[in-house]
Amino acid sequence: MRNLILLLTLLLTLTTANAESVNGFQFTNPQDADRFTALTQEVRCVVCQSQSIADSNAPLAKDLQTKIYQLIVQKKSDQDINDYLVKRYGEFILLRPRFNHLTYFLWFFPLIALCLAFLVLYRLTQPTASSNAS
Amino acid sequence: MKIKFIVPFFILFILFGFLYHELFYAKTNNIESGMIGEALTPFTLRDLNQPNAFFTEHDLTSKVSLLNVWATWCYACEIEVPMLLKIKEQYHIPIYSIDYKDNPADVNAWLKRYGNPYEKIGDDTTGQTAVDLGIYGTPETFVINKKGEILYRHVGVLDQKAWDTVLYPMIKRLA
Repeated sequence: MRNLILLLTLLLTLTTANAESVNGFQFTNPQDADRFTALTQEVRCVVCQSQSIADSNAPLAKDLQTKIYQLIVQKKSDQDINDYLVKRYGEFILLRPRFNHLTYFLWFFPLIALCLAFLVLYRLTQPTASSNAS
Repeated sequence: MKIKFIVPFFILFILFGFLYHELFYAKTNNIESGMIGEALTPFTLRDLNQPNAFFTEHDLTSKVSLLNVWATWCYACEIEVPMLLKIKEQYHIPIYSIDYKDNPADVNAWLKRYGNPYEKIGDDTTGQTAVDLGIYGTPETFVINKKGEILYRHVGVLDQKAWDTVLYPMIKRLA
């Protein structure tokens, strides 16, 4: 029984240690580790093809991970960190572009295209005046 | 012929127009940066030109200067260095640099081989100063005004054409 408790305590300690270390970056609390994971998964590796910096081994991706880690340690908010990145690399760096005046077209275009497609489809399926006459 | 048959060809023509523009007229050296007009993010780097000296953002005030980001492992930087030496010797514009993730021993050998166009060389071992500038790769060159603000960003090798048409006219206006 004593050994079992010791084993469980050890396992719990290991789990806690893992929760606060992400890709070699050490965090003092699990919330910051979770923020780091979420942020790095939403930041584009600007020198790769459609990869996040969390998934990339490119040197610049590692540098950006380090910068995000430093900003989290400095107690910057997610908004501050995204603003920092967008200022230097443009909206392109966010895999999920923010909804603002620069991205309205990007967000609304699929809806507009869908409406246009339905309109064209509707026009094509309507019987023409000549076919009505016949 | 009904007009609706022309529409797809018209759209295709416009798309080809975009493609043609991007292939032949897009300015790949002038990448937009939100840092234009902003002061440099503070930094303190070891100066590889002088032992026990440092390179900070304060060195880039009081005169219009260039800030070049480079590395010895960067092939394009070898191509660029004769132009930088020319700017230093013929145009007398001070060039400062950030050496991106490099080995100081390699830097000394490289400078002996190609020449040294730099006033100061900041040793950016972690790459974090380069990230503060929004660097994609090396080389990149920034025009810095007397207040230490970024005025222009040139991505890639700085050649005579870019110097004559964009950077030097801008520097002359500021001086």
